[in-house]
Amino acid sequence: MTAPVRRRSSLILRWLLLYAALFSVLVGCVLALVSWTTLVRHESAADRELQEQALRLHDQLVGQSETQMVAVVSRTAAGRTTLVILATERREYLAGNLRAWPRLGDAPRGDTRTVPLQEFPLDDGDAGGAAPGDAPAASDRAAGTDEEPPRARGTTLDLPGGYRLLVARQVTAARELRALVTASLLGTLAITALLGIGGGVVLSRRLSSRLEELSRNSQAILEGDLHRRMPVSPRGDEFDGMSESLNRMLDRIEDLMAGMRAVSESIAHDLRSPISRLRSRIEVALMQPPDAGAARAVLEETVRDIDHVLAMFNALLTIAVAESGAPRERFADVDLAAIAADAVETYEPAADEKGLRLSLDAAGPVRLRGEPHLLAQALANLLDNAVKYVPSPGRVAVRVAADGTRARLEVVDDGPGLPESFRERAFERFSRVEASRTTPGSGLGLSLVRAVARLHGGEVTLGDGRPGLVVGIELPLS
Amino acid sequence: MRLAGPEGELDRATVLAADERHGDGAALPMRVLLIEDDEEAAQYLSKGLAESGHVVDHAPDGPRGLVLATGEPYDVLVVDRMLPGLDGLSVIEALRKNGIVVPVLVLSAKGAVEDRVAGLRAGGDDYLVKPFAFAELLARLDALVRRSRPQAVETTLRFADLEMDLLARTVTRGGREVELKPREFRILEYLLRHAGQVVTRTMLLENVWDYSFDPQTNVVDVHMSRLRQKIDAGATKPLLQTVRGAGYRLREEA
Repeated sequence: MTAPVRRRSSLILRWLLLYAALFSVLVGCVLALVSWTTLVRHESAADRELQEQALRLHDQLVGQSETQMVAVVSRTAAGRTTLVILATERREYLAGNLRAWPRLGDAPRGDTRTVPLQEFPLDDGDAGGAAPGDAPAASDRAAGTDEEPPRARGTTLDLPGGYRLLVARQVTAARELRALVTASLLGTLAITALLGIGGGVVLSRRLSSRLEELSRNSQAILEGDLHRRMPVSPRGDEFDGMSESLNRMLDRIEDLMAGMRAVSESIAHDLRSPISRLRSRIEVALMQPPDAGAARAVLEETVRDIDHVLAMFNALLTIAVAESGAPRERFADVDLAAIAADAVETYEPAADEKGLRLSLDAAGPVRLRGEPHLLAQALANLLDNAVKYVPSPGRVAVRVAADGTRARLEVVDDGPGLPESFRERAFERFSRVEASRTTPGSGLGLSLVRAVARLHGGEVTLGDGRPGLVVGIELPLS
Repeated sequence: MRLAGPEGELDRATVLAADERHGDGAALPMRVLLIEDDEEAAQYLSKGLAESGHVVDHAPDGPRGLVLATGEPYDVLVVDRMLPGLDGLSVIEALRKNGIVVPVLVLSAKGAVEDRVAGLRAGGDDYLVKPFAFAELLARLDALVRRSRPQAVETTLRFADLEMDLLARTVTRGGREVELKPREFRILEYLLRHAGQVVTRTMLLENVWDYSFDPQTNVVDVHMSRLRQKIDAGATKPLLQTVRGAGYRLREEA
């Protein structure tokens, strides 16, 4: 017996990992977008606030003496992150938390209502001690060595008397932004990936264990435990659905195998008897003194017996072909009523000779998809039986009818019928009512009828005609 | 696979004696090419055909069969479907492609309708499933050879004083009208088209009924006896004969 196949890689795990990777990328994109917009909005809000602050301070300073202005600016600058400097016309420091007037480009100056902002570099140490509240960025910067100088963003306003005011704020460096965003991105990605991989492993373990359960069972069945079935949990999930269909398949295979076994046993039994009869007859004939006449008689009987054996083989073959479903490829539009009319017309003289009245009862064409030869043969088998078993005088009627979805073909007789106990067994191969063992026949007729009916998606039933037998074949119309 | 009805089974062993088939000159001597790889079957068939007055050549495989069939003028070919080298259907297709129209009977162990159809589609003229009664083979070969002779489109079929008008669908025997049921009419038409030849029950089932199976009941025999009653009733010379072990034949008593 082969060992279960060792799997080198798990499809499920691969897929889940791929899924986790895709999901991480997606999460990364979303995060990047969200951080970007947040930062941009944060910057513009800070700009607006700065502008308002500048205007407020400007309004406070207008019309004040220099000492008053210095006092106001110093108060404003104290303990604020905002950078403020008040300078003379010649840009000499008067007050504020910047130590010197920064080197500004030739930027437009704000008037009293519009406050254009511009960016400028801060001299190293400009705001170092003067802006102690600017904590993390400032200390980071202090720790750095050859970093670009810090930058600020602000506006200059002219005050009456030639004084100049500058209000600015430190700009978070682009690199710092990047670092911030990258750090949070990486963090989130790491968490996502970890969750994805972890979840993937857990999920794949659980899926694999259920799949392995199925393979273990298949392996056991393969090794001969044919009654074993796939486990079905009460959850009714996809795996249970698959297990159920596998189980149905296994049931069908077991049925077929049982059928095959029954057939081979029956063949062994039913074909062995005529063949051994043949053998003894020939053997006995060989023991007799040579006599052309007697030899001829033996040969004639031999041919008859062989024909009987061949007829059985034929019937078995036809049943096997019908059960295989292969004739479905030849399905054509057939008229069941026409097939019945043909069969009735064919059997009518033979029935008549036996003292039976054979009649057809069909209202009109009954069209369906089917294999005409097999349908004709099935009906012929039923008529063979009727002619064989219905005693004279008797009646046999073939009825064809259809409702919306199903066609019904019935062969009704007023003969002895079948004992109820035998009706189900009647469809089994080689089954024959004990009393009829002496009548020639293979015991395969009804098996073939059932195989043909099932080939067409239909079913055969045996009923009591009180008196007589009703054989009904129901076939789907389309 | 074909078996005759119960009555035929008894007679099956009575393989027709050669002289019986020769006596009336109905069975013309044929030149037969048998392409069959089963040595034993080939021997048995060759012997049977020779005893029936025919000349038989045997090829044990497809290529040799094809060479013989292409080079020699045969009346009929008997080709097994399963052959080493080149299978039977390919041999037939090759022959047909070369414009050789000799009638071919395909022998096969496969009896399903689709195999039969494949055999005929490949260019075979008839299909016989193993095992078969030798009489069945003879009857079919006879029918094939005669059919291969060109037939005019006829509106009237005649045999002795039996006349069938295919247009008016009427039959007369010695000028007296015979009433036939549609099936009986078709049986008689088939017999008339094969007048003088043996027609087996299986040939009738296939051609008149389009049944590819053998009913257990002797339906053919009953139809034939009714037909005989109608056409031979009161006639001094019966025309419809039963050929023991084989089938039926229209024949004029000498």
